[in-house]
Amino acid sequence: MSEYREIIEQVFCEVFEQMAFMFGDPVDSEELMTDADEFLVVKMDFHGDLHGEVEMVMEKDLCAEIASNVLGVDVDDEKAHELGTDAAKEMLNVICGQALTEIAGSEPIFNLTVPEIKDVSARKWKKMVADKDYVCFVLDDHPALCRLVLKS
Amino acid sequence: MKLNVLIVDDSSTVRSVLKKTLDLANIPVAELFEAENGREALQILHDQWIDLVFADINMPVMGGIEMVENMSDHGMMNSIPVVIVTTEGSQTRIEQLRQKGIKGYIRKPFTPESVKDEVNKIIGS
Repeated sequence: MSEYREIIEQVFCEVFEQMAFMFGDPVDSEELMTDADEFLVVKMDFHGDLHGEVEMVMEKDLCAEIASNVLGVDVDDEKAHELGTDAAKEMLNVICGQALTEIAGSEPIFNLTVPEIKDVSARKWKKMVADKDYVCFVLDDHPALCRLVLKS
Repeated sequence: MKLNVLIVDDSSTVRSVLKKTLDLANIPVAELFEAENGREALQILHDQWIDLVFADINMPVMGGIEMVENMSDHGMMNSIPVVIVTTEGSQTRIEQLRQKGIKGYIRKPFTPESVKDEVNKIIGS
């Protein structure tokens, strides 16, 4: 179980609502349904008083939807597809910054790495959903996962 | 007075959103320049007249802090106001950046109001 589940639940929903006008609901893993077979993970590290990583996992197609909402363009707009993964990276960047302030307060300085994206297979996605470290969300009818892991 | 503005962020999404936000905030922009990192920004600052810079901290190649340090070493660039736009919420970091010469700080996610307030503090309303 993620030590910072409540913080992740709160920050993830707030950031998506404020930046992308998308509404997230924390749910149990059994409630996550998808027919998608292509997923991706966005990941970044943080260093400072605390060291660790933050990850967000989602259907590939959700990226264009995020970008369309953030940019205020139609989901079929070329720009939404072009900037889909870039928008997903930026969402994680903001989630990471907000979560670290919630966890550690506003005094410590953290150095954040640039977010990276990797493909995730459907098989790996199922494993991640079953992993209790991930907090599960339904984000505008799409499944998504997020976790924050501290490293010693 | 219309401003020549430089936006420095490795995310195209943030650059697009900030452009739109400047418009929504009724900030008078004459010409808008974009850079993906501090090094590109320094080149633009060398070549163009810029009135105001918005810069991220964490960028590949050269981050915002190194960019501000480089600007301090150049007489002409030293006086150009820099507003840091970042996801980071550390007050210690902000204080350090102010000592390095930044004039403003906007935390993501930002709104047209928060951008306008910060610009007005620097440029005047």
